[in-house]
Amino acid sequence: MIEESLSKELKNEVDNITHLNVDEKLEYLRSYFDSSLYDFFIKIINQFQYNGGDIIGISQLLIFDSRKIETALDNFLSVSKRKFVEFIVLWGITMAILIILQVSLSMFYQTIIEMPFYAPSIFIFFIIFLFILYVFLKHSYNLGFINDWREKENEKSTKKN
Amino acid sequence: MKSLRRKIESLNLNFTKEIVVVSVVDFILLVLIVLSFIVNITPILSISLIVSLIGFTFFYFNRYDSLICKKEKRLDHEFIDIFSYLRIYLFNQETVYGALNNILEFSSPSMRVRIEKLLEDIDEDKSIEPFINFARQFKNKVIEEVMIALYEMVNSGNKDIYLNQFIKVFEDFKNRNEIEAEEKRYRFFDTINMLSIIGSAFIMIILSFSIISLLGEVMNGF
Repeated sequence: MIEESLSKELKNEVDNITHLNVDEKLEYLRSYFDSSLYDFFIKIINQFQYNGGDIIGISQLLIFDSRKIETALDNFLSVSKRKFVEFIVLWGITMAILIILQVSLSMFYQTIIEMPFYAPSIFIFFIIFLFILYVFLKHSYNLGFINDWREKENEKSTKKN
Repeated sequence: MKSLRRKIESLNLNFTKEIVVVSVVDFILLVLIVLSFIVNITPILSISLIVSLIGFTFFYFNRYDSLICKKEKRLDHEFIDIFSYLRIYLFNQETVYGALNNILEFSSPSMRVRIEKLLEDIDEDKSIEPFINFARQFKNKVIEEVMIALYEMVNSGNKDIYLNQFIKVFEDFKNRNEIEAEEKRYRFFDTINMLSIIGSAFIMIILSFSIISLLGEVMNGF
């Protein structure tokens, strides 16, 4: 029943470990879910195994927190897609100016190209564009806000080592 | 100097190493400035080197404040994450002391030190003091409210009314922080998209220069 709601990647992972028992599967998936939320989930499962009780009741707040993170993630992905379209349109308009210059001033364009400042300026323009594109993509793919402090601490300890 | 040393050490950086880096870079720049005057190259290069020397020294020493600010924010963020687990433990009938002990394994080294100190202080002092001292290590003042709510739970023996009060104070704090963080993430996209104006402006400047130069050439031609 749960398998239906799994993502394709997670389903592949689960299919690869069918020979393991439930505890081993959960332990194996620790590397897939690189989040302290998963570690806490394992804790709750262990607590349930040792003490018993109502599993839905004891994991109620954890489910609530996971849903909130899931919603934040979905919102972020949808906003980043929308902003990327805006980004392309805005830079597309800027590039269009260059093309219009080439077409409308075709008679003088050869002279403009030969001007000493033109080529370096266009080069700088594309460097600026690539840099801003890099910053945009870096921010779009940075999902570290889920575990921001943890990532930074790990980075720090790795550097020290 | 003492304040600078304190800042550097609070970031777990080596004071001597930091000073050596600045001194070496400043020394190289100084040598280049003197050389540029002796060789008598273009004055723009000498001025650029002087500006680089002042700029580098200023930004190098001023970056500690921004690093400290980032560190404090990261700590506040971690507090929210770690205490989210604490509230789950409390919700599942764990004692405050037990819950604090349990969240140690999810803490970063810097947070672990703080929680261990809190536990030690709670052992020795049953008043609100250890909770307030713990809260004082964070930048966000609402953490003090959260810790007071936690102390009230200890004082009342985990009564449901105090548990609910703690959960409410903490949830409000968490939600407010999440909304702020989300707005900041989205604002960054807007800022990047605004930068396209720089691109347009740059193209316009190139275009204007090209046309003016072209007109100049045409006029000279006549």
